[in-house]
Amino acid sequence: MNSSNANMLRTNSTWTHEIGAVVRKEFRTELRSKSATYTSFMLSGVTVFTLAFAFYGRELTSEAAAGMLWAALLFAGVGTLTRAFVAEEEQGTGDLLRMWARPHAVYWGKFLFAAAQMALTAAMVALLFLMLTGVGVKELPMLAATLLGGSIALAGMVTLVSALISRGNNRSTLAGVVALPLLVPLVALGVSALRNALDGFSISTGWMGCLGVWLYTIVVLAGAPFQFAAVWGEI
Amino acid sequence: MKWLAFVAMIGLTVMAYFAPPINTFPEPELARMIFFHLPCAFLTVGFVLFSAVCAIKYLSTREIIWEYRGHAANAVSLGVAAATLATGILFSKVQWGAWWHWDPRQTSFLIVLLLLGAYFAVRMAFDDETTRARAAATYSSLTLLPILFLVFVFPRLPQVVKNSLHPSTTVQQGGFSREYWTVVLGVFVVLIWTFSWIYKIHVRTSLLEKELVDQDGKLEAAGNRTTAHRVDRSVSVREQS
Amino acid sequence: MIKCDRLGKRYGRRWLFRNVDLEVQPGEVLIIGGRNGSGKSTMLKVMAGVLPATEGTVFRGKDHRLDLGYAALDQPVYPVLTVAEHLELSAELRGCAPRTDELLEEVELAYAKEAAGRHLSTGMRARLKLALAIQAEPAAILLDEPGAGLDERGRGVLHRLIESRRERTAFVIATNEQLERQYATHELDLDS
Repeated sequence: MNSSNANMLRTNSTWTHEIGAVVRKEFRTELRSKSATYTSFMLSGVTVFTLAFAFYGRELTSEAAAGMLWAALLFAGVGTLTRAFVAEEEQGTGDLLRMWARPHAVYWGKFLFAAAQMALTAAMVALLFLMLTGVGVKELPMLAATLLGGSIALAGMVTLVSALISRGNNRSTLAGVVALPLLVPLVALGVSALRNALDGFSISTGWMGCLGVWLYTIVVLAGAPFQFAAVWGEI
Repeated sequence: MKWLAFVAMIGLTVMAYFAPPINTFPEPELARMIFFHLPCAFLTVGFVLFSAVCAIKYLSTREIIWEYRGHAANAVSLGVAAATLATGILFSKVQWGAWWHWDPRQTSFLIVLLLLGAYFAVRMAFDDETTRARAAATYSSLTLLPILFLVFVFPRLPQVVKNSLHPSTTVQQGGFSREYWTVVLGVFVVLIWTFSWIYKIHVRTSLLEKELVDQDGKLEAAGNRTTAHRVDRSVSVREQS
Repeated sequence: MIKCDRLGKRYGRRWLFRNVDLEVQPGEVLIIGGRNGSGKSTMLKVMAGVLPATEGTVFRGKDHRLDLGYAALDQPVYPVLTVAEHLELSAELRGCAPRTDELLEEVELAYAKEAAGRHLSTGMRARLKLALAIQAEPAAILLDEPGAGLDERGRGVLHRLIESRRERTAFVIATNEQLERQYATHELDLDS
């Protein structure tokens, strides 16, 4: 085969193709090694249960409930999503992705999978939490919009943090140390939105908080692929 | 020049005792903590923002000097932030009666300190210097958004500002006398000078360490003592006969 | 073609190699030799772009995904993906034809097409990695200890693979094996 034949082997690769390939690979890997998904859901369940149990028999204000729900989301999110690249480096396959894919495709593929996983986890965590604590919801659309925006933001940020720490020492501890302070603005805005979604105290403040969550999401996603490329790609 | 800064600091310390006390504070005499606290807070933010700029410069140019600058700026701001928080805690105790009040500015500054602390955790986690530089710079660029939020947005949110004990109104609405401002700004200038000097020493140390490693191989090749394990050598490809 | 310009890699204060200037053109085979720990694998990793260089630059062609192939002894594969899925994923990401059957025939691994990565032996993994390295018929191929772990037939596969491509591909091989050294047009000894 000469070089012109080698050129014939090349197909038109597009971003959607490449991102789709990463997402499919993630789903395939996750579905086949069920232990990871199962453990993630268990982590979320155990976190919610522990938090709800701590308040057993006591009246829970909407402010405390909003804070606790966010704490549960953070634990579940950071605990679950940091695996994205840590698992890849631990099994030594990160280099395959480095060789085969463009960094932006890797980031978006991993992010989309993480966002789907986090949205599912958030829905489960919220349902379980509301059920166990008996806290009512006044503004369901606000709750849903905040949880969705929060899940996307968590996925975007934690996926990036996962790549950042994946080649470091003490990865599991480092993940929390690095991710949590970066997520403080999201939590501050998210708690304000959730609190008002639960008690309907100030609808406008709630929607402002929700808007803040989505703005945080946009800013994170605007910068993340470039920051990811800086830590990921040696090429 | 160094002694000039020293003399200026002594002069400003003396001036600080002559500035008329602000009587709106519960303990006006002890409120002089502000002379040190306020400039330190400004400096922290300045150095942190500068380190984020260095990080972005490093990521775009890959010139190691920007990594050294970013690292030095973060090291200085960690020290200044700790001083800010410590004086803030003392102020809180004498003026408001408790060491920690969950005052919004106090809290947001603590988180800034955590973000800075995490920067050093990231640095320590990597053995390979290039990977470390990239990870640290990326993290530093990531902290820009939360720091801007924590310093400039969060303490000004309407639902937050009403819970704040911080004397922002005293500072912003003419509560400070001319003497007060003179001392605050004077200390600010002296501290900028002092910490810029420390920053420069930090950068120079990093450069010298790099130079030492670069020289190691040459020393070994010349038969002198070296701290390196192996020789710095050039490799060339030779043609098979 | 692959080209290194003043390439250097340092761990702590220890320089593994420094000031490496080299250019390997199609038709040339560069053999990198040296005892264990001399930095052969690291040099290949830096050339492949999976490890960052401390100094210097590497030119890997216009698009490294298509212009560079890399197979290393210590490179794991995805434990839950099958052999065929590895080739399909790589093709989709790189933007080239998967050629699954053709490649598996060439490396004599067709019988394990549906086997998961975790069930492959060292030799089978080595063959899969060879297939992945040549998938896009890149202009340069980097092989790290390619003969290790391969049986007699596997070595035959490897030698046919090099023989059939050496005219149009630049090879860089890190090895101390005499068998692979026979192809050398250039040699680099990291012990000297």
